[in-house]
This record gives sequence, C-alpha cells and structure tokens, in this order.
Amino acid sequence: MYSRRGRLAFRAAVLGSALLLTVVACGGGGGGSGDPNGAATLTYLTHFNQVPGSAIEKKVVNAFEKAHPKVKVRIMALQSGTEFTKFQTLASAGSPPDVYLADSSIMSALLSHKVLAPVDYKAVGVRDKNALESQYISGVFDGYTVDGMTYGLPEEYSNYGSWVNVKAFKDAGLDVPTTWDQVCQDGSKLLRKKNGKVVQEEVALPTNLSVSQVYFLDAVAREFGSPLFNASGTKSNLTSKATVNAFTMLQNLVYKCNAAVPSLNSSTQGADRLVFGSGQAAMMFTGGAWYLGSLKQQYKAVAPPISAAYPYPTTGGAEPASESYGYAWVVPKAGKNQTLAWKLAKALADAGNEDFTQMGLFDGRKSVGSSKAATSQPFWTSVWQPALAHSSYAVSLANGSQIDDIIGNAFDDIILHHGNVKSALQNADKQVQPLLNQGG
Amino acid sequence: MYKPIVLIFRYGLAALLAVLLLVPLVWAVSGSLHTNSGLFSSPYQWIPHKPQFKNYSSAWNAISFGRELVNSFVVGFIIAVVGVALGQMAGYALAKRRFLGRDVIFWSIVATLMIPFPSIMVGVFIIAKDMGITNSYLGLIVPGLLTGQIIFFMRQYLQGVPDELLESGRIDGASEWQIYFRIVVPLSWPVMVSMGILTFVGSWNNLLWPLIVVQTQSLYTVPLGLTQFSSQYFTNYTAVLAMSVVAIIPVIILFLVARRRLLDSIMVSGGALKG
Amino acid sequence: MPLIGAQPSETGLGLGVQRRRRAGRIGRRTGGQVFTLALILPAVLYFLIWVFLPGGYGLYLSMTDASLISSPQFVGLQNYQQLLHSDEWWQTLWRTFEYAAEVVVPTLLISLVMARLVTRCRRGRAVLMTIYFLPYVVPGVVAALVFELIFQRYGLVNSALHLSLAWLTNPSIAMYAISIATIWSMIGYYVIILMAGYQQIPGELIEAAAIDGARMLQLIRYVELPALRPTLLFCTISSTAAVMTNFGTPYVMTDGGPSNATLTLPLLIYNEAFKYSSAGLGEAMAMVLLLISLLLALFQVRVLFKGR
Repeated sequence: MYSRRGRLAFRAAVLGSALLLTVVACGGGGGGSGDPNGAATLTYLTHFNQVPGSAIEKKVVNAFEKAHPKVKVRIMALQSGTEFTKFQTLASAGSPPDVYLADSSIMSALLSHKVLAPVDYKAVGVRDKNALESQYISGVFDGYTVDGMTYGLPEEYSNYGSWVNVKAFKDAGLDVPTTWDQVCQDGSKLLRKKNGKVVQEEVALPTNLSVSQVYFLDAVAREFGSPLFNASGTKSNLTSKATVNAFTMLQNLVYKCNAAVPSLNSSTQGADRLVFGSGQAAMMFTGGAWYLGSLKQQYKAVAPPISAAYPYPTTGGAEPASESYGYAWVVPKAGKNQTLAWKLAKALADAGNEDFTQMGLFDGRKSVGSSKAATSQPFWTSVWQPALAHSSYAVSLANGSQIDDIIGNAFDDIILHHGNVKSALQNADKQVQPLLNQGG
Repeated sequence: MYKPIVLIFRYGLAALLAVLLLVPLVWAVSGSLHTNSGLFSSPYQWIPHKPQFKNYSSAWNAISFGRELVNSFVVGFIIAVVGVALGQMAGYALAKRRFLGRDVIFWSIVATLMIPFPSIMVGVFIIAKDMGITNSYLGLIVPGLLTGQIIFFMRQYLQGVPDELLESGRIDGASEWQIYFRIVVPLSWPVMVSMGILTFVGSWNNLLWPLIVVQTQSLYTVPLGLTQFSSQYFTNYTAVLAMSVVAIIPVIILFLVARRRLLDSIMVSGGALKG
Repeated sequence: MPLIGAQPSETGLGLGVQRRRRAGRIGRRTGGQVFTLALILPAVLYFLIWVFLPGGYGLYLSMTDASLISSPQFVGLQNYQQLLHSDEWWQTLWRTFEYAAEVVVPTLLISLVMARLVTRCRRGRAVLMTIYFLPYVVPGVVAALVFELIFQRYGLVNSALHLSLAWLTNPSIAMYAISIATIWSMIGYYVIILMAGYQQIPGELIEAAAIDGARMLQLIRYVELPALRPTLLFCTISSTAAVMTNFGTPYVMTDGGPSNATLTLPLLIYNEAFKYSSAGLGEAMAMVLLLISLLLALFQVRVLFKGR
C-alpha cells in the first residue's frame, strides 16, 4: 500500500510533467505546411516591426486571409538589420519563411547559397518577365536578377540624401551647404553649447549601423574619385587615394571643422537619425524619402517645413553620387506553398502600394512614381525621383554583412577615436580581402 | 566595546554602498515616468514634474508584452519544476546510491558546470532543429531544463543526510521508493525550493537561447521583447524603461518572498566550500 | 481445522516471513537497481543529448566549412589555422580576458568589503543583505538597458559626476561602462558567498586577535584572508568564467561596438555562426573558449577538493 502510493505519486509526477510538456509542445505550433485541402500557414519575415509599416502589413495580411479562408499568415516582424540573421537560423532549421522581405545588399548571399525560387509570373499576375519589368523604371530589378532569372518582387527602391534642418541654417544666417568645403566652414557657426553641453552640431555622422554607414561612405568615396568596391565586388578600393581622401575629409569634420560631435550619438543603431530627429544636428546623411515618415510620426518638431531633403554635398563640380538600394519580397525554394507565397507577395505589393508611398517608400513602379500620392510628397519630384532615375544598385557582396561591419568599425575608429585614416583603412582592407566575391 | 565612530563609519559605508546599488533601479523607475528628453536633463529630476504614466500603457500596447510575460512565466515555471525534480533525483543517486560509474558521472556533470553555453550553442541549435522543436515552447524549455549546478548542490546537500536515517527506513521494511518519497523528498524540499527560484530567475533572465531558437513574435520572452523595442528609425527610451520596470517586478517579488530561504541556501553552498 | 491448521500456519508464517524477507532482499537489489537507474538516467540522458552531443558536434563542425544554410564539408584544421593568423581573433581573445579582469577584480574587492560590513552590522543585516543581493536577480537585459541609458553622453553618470565622457561611443572607455554594468549585476551573489566564508571563521580566532591588540588591517591580513582563501579562489574562478561567457551585457549595450571595442568571444561566436554564415569558424572559436573554461574548471576542482 505504502509502496504503491509512493510509486503512484512518482508516476503521477513524471506523467504530469510529460503532459505539461506535451501541452506546451502542441501550443508551440509547427512551421508552415502543405495540405491537400488547400489549408496552409504562410510565414512572412519582415522588418516592419513598428507602426505605420506594421499596421499596413497587418491590414494587407488580414485581407489576404479573408480572400483565402483556409490560409493563415504568420508575420515575423524583426528589428531592421536582424532579419537576415533570423532568416539564416530559420533556413538552417529547414523551415525558411515562405515570404521574406529581403534587403538588396544580402541578395548576393542568398543567391550564392541558391536558396531562392525565381518569380512565379503567373502567381503575380503577369505573362512573363518582360511584362513585369516593363511596369518598373529601369534598373529596379538589377539587384534581384542573376543569369537572366529574377528572384524578387520590389518593395522599395531608394537611395540616401541629406536631410537638412533648414531652420537651423537660417537661424545661423547661412545657406544650406552644397559642397563639403562649405560644410566644414559652417561647422563652428552651427555648434551651439549650453552649460558646457553641446545642444547642436552641424552634421550627425552615422555610427553603429554598418549597412547605412557603408551606403553613405561609398557615395562620398565616389565623389572623391572611386567607389569602395569594383562593380563585381571582387576588388576593394579601400586603400585607394579617393577613399583615403573621403574618410580624411569626414574625420576633419569632427576634429578640424567642429562640424560634427559624433559622441552625441548613442550606442543604438542608427543613432544619427535620432540625433537629427531630436533637433541636435542640422544635417544627416542616412535618410531616404522614407525618412519623411519618421519625421512626421516621431520627430514632429523637426518635420518639414523645418527640414528638407537635398542631394549630398559634393567635392565641388562633381555630381552628387548615391547608390541605390532596395527591398524585395523573395520566396525561398524550400517553401511548400510557393505559388501562394508569391500571391501574398503580390498582395503586399498591390494593396500596400498607396500606403507605402505615403510613408515615403517607393517600389520603383512607373505608375507609382508619377502617381498623385508620390508627386504630392515633399521633395519627391525635386530630389528623389531624379536621383533614382539614374542611380544603380550598390555592389552586392556575398559576405556583405561582415564586410560592412569591418568598414563600419574602421569608420567608427576614425571619427570617434581620431584613428589614423590610412592605417585604419589598410587594416580594414586586410580583413576584407579574403571575403570579397570570388572572380568570374 | 565598539566606539560610536566605528559604528557610524561602518553603517555609513554600508548604507552608501546600498544606495549606490539601488540608484540604477530607482533611476529606471523614475525615468520610466519621464519624457524622452527629460531623461537627459541636467540636473536630473528624480521626481518628474509631470509623471508620464501613459508611458506604461503605450509601451504595453505597442508590443504584446502581456503575452511575453506569460511566455516567460510558463517557460521559467516548467524549467524550474522539472529541472529541480530531475536534479534532485540525480543528486540523491549520486549522494547515496552505489552504482557502477558513479564517480565518472558525477565528475562529468561537474565538468558541464564550466561548459559555457556560447561554446555549444550551435550544436544545441542543430540538435533542436533535428528534433523539430525550434520555434516552439519545447524548444525554449527542453535545452535549458537541467543544469549541473542543481545536481551539484543537491548532491552536496543530500550527502549531509545521515545514512542511519535511510537505514532505519529500510529496517522498517520500507521500499526504496517509499524511503525516497517519505524521507528524502521532504528533507530536500527547502533546497529544492531555493534551487527552483534560482532556476526560474535564470530562465526569466535568459536572452541568448531564446534569441536563437524563437522566430515568431508570439513566442517571445521578456528579455527578447525588450531588445526589440528599439529600431534604427526610432528608439523610445521611456517605453523601454517602463517595460523594464514591469519585467523586474515578478523576480523582485519572488526574491523578497523567498529571500531568507534563498540566501540561506546560497550561504550553505558557499559555506560548503571550506571542504 | 484451527488446531491442525495452527502449527503449519505458524511455521508457515515464520517461513513465509523469512522467505519474503529473502525475496524482498533480492527484489530490493534488482528493484534497487531499477530505482537507481530511474533516478539517474534522465539526468545522464539529458547531459548526453544537450551538452556532450552538441559539444562533440561542435568539435566536428569546427573542422568543416559549415554555414547554417548549406551542408558542411570537411576542411580539417583550416579554421584553426585561420584563427592563428587572424588579428581580430587574438584581439578579441585578449579583450575577453581584459573584460574578465576589469570585472572580477573590482567585484571581489567590493564584495569582500560588503561581506565584511554585513557580517559586522548586527542590526539591519537582513535589510543590507536583501539590498546587496537585489541586483543579482534583475534580468541582465534590463540591467544592460538601464546602464546603456545612464551612460549616455548626457545621462545620469555624467551629470552626477560633472563629466562629459562619451562612455559608449569612445572606443577606449566603452569597455569600462560595460564592466561597471556587469559588476553591478553579479556582485550580490559573491557578497553572499563571501559572507558564508566569513561565518566559517571561528569567533575565537578573531577574539584572540582582538585581545592581542590586532588592528583592523592586521586582522584582515593575518586572520581573515587566510581563512577566506578557498572561498576567494572559488569566487575568482567562477566569476572569471561567468564574465568570459557573458553575452547579454555587451550585446545589448553596444553590440560589440564602437569599432569592436567591446566585442568579446561569445559575441564574436554568435556573429560568425548566426550573422556571417560561418558556423565552422565560429565553432573553432567556441572550442577554444571551451578549452579555456575547462582548464579553469580543472584548476577550480583542484583548489576546491585539495586534500580530499
């Protein structure tokens, strides 16, 4: 009796915990799976984890679920910049997301690992490749095309420019600078201190977000004579004279011109955008048309007309240069419901179109570019449209995220720590060499 | 015997250190009621003029923090209960049973105490993936279930139980199961509770594993949710602080409730170091 | 019946008891083995599956070109050779030790002072212990987020100390900020452990020293520290291991930046495996971290169980 009760209790304990585990196991739910009845769960990996973007996507997804009653869509919204990490983890677990909003800079990594399925033209409602691409301005698909096959449906086609707090310049009796020399000269005039605290700097330089740092740095290096990498990504120009001059000029903004106080940046990603948004900087370089949305939503105090978009300052005479980048919906070929996945991508592209444009996100479609929503956006016709019309994608490097980190670190060292430009770049180049795209 | 000045110095220093340790927590509470710019005002206003209680409601609504609290709670609770139960069983076997390979097993388990999780996480992830439990509650729970620490402490503690006590049970004709449930479990109950609390707190605070194994927002735990608060476009500091304060509350309550027992058992394990 | 049956039943009872005892003993022996197995098997299986198997698999992966996306190819010791020639690796290894030293030394000194104070403050001891231990239960992520904010350029630390340091964006001091946050998070545990050590010191020893007229410093130097030696060694080694494998604090506060100034081993391993698709190289790093930890463990075991 005694013994039996003991055993019973023990069995009950073991059974209980097993049961508990089973319960939570079922609660967890598996990945998306195919079903003969057409019932399916699609997973969607995106970087819109905050309003308004997240709200737009939720709306589209709800409508999609209504149109396909047996289909459930699970949105995975991750902090921007961490999606690729998550994608790799998911893919390695054999359950990649069915639809993934991928950044053009990582396309090369995705394509070299051969994990994507080409666009399903029927599912996105067009006859063929030409029919789809003729709807967009030229070049938009270049970032998603390899060997004549297209792998992405564009969500955003964008580039960076300067965002300028026009009022700050006006208050100091200055015009908005168009050359880097002017930026340097205006530095001290815009530097404001209060009780020893810097309350305003002229320019916020980017730190801690290597992707955006590299887009900016590449543009500046181009103005000084050569891009950071050759077009195929097999050769680095990090130690070239142009790059050294560009980085030296930016370092001087901090240590000679009093134009930038990068230590105002916090350690969060994209801190320069925060500094500009809080009114502490009169100029910022890592924003595209979409930054208007951030200004209107979160930084109302400096939203237009206080601020305005301009092309980058130049070296004088040279064209302002800024490579474009984009996002596109891609479908991993390991997915079980690829047709459905492309339909979801199409739904996001269509229904979200108007709303995304309101946010300043432009997907590269001709019709959208000349739509009322777009042309009524401030600076669209004056700044972004002309710049996008003749820009092309930045080089896509298979080891891009690592290379970006290396260059970002070198730049952080140069502007935050007054590091020697030449040796910092040489050191970065040494690390980058083995990671470049292999020839061919 | 003691001079008053010694006492004043002693208590003064003790209080000063206590205040220094509390400053970040008090600041977090105070900051969670500020505006984003008020956080960086100088001199800092410890009690904001206009406390922004809406920071809490807006942060709570912005992400599904309630869901995250529940997830963390469920995961932590199961890990604590199952982990401590298994650990206590193994600890008893290692302390009081004789069997082949006992020492090898004991030392292998002690060695796992020093295996840092980052050094095996890729392997753990791949095994979880092969079992098909990534991105599920099971995936959050199972790989973190048992630690060498629990077994080690349980064994050390149960070694102190006199053999005569168990032997008297045997003489009375009780089976090993009866001895286990009637004598051993009640004896180790206090240590089990404190190990359970420490395990729960450890799970509640764990960031790295959930970061790797979880993909869906509905499975996020509290630490994971907190790191998702900032984006490269906008960081809402006060919302982060508000949810941080919410995240601290459960563990602090748990600690205050079980304070004496918890500290005592850590002291016992620390005292055992004399060997 | 009763009469006839009485004797056999008596003997029968006697025999029965004996037989049952014997059977019981045999049954207990096999039952006992089943019992022991039931106790220990779950734990053994758990550690085999979730610690030793991943460890072994990691060792294998470290000799492949594994990325999480594609299947691994064996490459021998190539990853280890790459580490030998990588400046970043050596810098990170060194930085990790630096981080450990920056945290462990102050943690032990301060917690020693705290433990001594608490042991000697008879009144209010419970309150002090509670407060000193409190930070230890605060989630590491929360601690890191709070410290990230108070270490901002215009945050609490600078405004209270009238400094103007860019704690988290200046590569030469960022590690200090991270170390301070780490110390805050772990100090409570060591205060309690050291208090236990203090309580083990026989009261007569201290009284005798007091009668001899020993001053505080002499007391500490000749009585307390020698008595605390094993406890202190335990604390040193376990806190070193804890700091070297700490992921959350640097990840949240700076993510290894600025300019890799706070990039420690766990972060680098995470980046290689989950961000740069080089799980093979990451595992080679992990194996080195494992080796370091096991050496520390060996040392700790020898210290703890010396003379046993």
